Amino acid sequence: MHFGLSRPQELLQRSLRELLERDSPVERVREIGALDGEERTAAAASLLTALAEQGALGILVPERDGGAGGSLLDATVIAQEFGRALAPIAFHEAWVLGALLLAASEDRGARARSSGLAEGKAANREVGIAPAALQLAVAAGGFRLEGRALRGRGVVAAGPDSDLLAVVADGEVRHLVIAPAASEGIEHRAIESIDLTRPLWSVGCEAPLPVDDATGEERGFGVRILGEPIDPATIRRAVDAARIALAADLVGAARRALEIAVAYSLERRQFGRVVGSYQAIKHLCAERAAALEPVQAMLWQAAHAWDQRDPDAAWLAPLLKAHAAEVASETVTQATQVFGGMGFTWECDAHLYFKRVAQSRQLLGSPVELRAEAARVRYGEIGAAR
Amino acid sequence: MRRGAYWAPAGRSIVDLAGFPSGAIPAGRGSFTAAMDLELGPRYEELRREVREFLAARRDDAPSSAVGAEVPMERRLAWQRTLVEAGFVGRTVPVEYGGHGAAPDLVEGIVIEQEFAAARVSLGMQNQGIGMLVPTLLRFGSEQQKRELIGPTLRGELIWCQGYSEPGSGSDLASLSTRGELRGDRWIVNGLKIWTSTARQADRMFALVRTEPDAGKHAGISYLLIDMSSPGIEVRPLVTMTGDASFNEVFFTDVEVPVTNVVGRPGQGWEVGTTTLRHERALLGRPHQSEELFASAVAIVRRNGLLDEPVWRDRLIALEARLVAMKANGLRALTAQLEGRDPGLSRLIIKLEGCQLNYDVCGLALDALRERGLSRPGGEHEEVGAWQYQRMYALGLIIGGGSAQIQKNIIAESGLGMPREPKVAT
Repeated sequence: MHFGLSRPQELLQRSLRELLERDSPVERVREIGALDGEERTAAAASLLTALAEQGALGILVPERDGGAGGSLLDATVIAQEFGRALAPIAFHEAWVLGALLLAASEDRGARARSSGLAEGKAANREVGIAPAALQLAVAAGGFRLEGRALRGRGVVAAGPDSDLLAVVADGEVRHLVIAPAASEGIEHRAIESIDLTRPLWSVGCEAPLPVDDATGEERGFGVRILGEPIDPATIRRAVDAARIALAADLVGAARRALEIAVAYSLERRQFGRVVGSYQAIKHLCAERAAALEPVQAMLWQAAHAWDQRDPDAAWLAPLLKAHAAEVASETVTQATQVFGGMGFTWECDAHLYFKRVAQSRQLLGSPVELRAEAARVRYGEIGAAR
Repeated sequence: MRRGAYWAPAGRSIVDLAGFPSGAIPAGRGSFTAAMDLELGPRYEELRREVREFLAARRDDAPSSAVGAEVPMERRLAWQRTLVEAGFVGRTVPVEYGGHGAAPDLVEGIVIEQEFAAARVSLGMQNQGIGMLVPTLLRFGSEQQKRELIGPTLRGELIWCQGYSEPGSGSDLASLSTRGELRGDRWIVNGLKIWTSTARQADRMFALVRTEPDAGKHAGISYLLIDMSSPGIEVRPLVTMTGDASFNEVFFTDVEVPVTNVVGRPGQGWEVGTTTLRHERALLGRPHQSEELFASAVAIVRRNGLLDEPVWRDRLIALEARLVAMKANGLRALTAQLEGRDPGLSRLIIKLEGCQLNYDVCGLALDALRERGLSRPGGEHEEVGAWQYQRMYALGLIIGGGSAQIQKNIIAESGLGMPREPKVAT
């Protein structure tokens, strides 16, 4: 029996932590956060390239597309380090949700974008698709097909220079639709998110946007359906995986916030002694550690259940994300409190973790929604017993 | 360009490295390199079969484990002997001391516990003699103490109580003042112990006593074994908020204790005694207790037709999240123990989080019972009345065995590296 990370996973964790401390320290995260537009894209792209070269981005991309074909547990190790480092990357979206959705399609364009994910860019020049695209924006909902036209709006983490991969409802049937970067008729609106590290966009087409008839083999720059309809169970599993990855980001950010708060409490002196020697501060930190430590184990448990295709993963994933969001929210709140007045300043790093957690909490379901969803799977639909 | 950076061998990315078969990673050691694996392995499945066969053959000999069931002492003792002989009690205790002599194996203990719990068969007497004194004697006891005391304790022939806390020494246990003076070949013990469960039934007490008042606070304590029938011992029941006299006060007036009845050296008592405390804490707040309680609470919510109410579901599933997390945390702590690593925070937090979870589960069950939750045990609604009792009992465990506040100090100091609060001149 062994519950926890393997030695190679621990090694991956350590190596990635070193890479991020060197290439993406908090000062660099702040610099990137202050940039806009192309400057920001270029700055983020250099980190993506470094991560891609180390294989960290293609962890869930199948080996046939140049990825590592790793487990979700592997991916949570990476996601947790990204949260800890406040890395300017929305890993859960393109590299978890996107990678898993693309892996489910046999379409040649899907394959090309899948390998693009592993390389840190959505385009694959050899296949000749949208060479401008740097990333992949993935919308798991909000879009529908009206006849042969795409319509709707969703929130995504990648901007106008990204291809858009949307899960599209056509009545009961679901398709994957790809819209190359800057497709005409698709409009991006920047969302003023509080999280400086991961900007969000509202992307949509208010006017129906015609979908090319080509359903697979042909290359093209148009808006296309990627292959055959996609199985709802596959979508569900991909969304659950993205939730587990977000939970890992939450745990990573919250653990780090507690660490820097404890470290500060051992330096800051008031009334002649370090404030971390007062039980008022010690107990506050101990309570957060006691709540947070089991979430680390729950994260591994849920990721493992997902990897094993254990049916329990269907309620563990939403419940984990809800619980991680609650515990992480309280942790960054109290960590900010430990810094006292400094915690309320822009200069202190506490708010960066606070905001990272605040954004993750809202994505892919709020805690209340996710608990309701978990309860539907765990206890049955409301009224089913009547 | 970045490929082959300093943290990875040339030409290998960090993920290539992570993809290595575990055997290729240097410095790995046996199970330490293992990947996530929740199976116990064939060896333990064999033990599981063995336990099941034993239970099928012998379960009718077991005393009823139902709450309030009256079981004749002879029957309980006979069952206890059966369990010792079969190796399910005292499994890792050497044969010469009356045990089964098996190699220490945490997982074996877990398999046995699981199977007895699943069959709802008693795993014998759960007392402080077996749980705390036996491990202490094995580590610190003299050869004679081990040979004379461990066997009868395992077989239930010797019942022990614990004499640690005093009215003036609760969380600050090392300030204890019950004293033992050496006169000839006897310790003369005077003082008062409190929170002593089973003192009225016990044959003996293992106690912390101040024997060297001039030595330092921790250095002046000895671990004594005291015969409860000695002249000068008076036991007074201590009625708790549950209405039960589950604890006692034990008064000592010139009680004579043979000089050889010290475990370890005189003055080593703090070290000897805190080892047993660790055994006690390891038993409190374990997730399988919460799991049973939670399953009963779910049944109540369901039976009362509340599982279809969104507010109730939300409360229930939020508690279930904490339970799932604590179960996973328990597996993580167990893995560290099995692999000989320090479980760190994952172990330090179990008592605090587990006991609070139990209390909150009781609160939910009571809310679901509405007015029927009011009845006390023995009242009109026997079955449901137990929840008021359970909740008070859970509160007792938040306080007892190292209060929640002491647990937070331990977590902050040992887990987070924060300093002790400085002493204040009084």
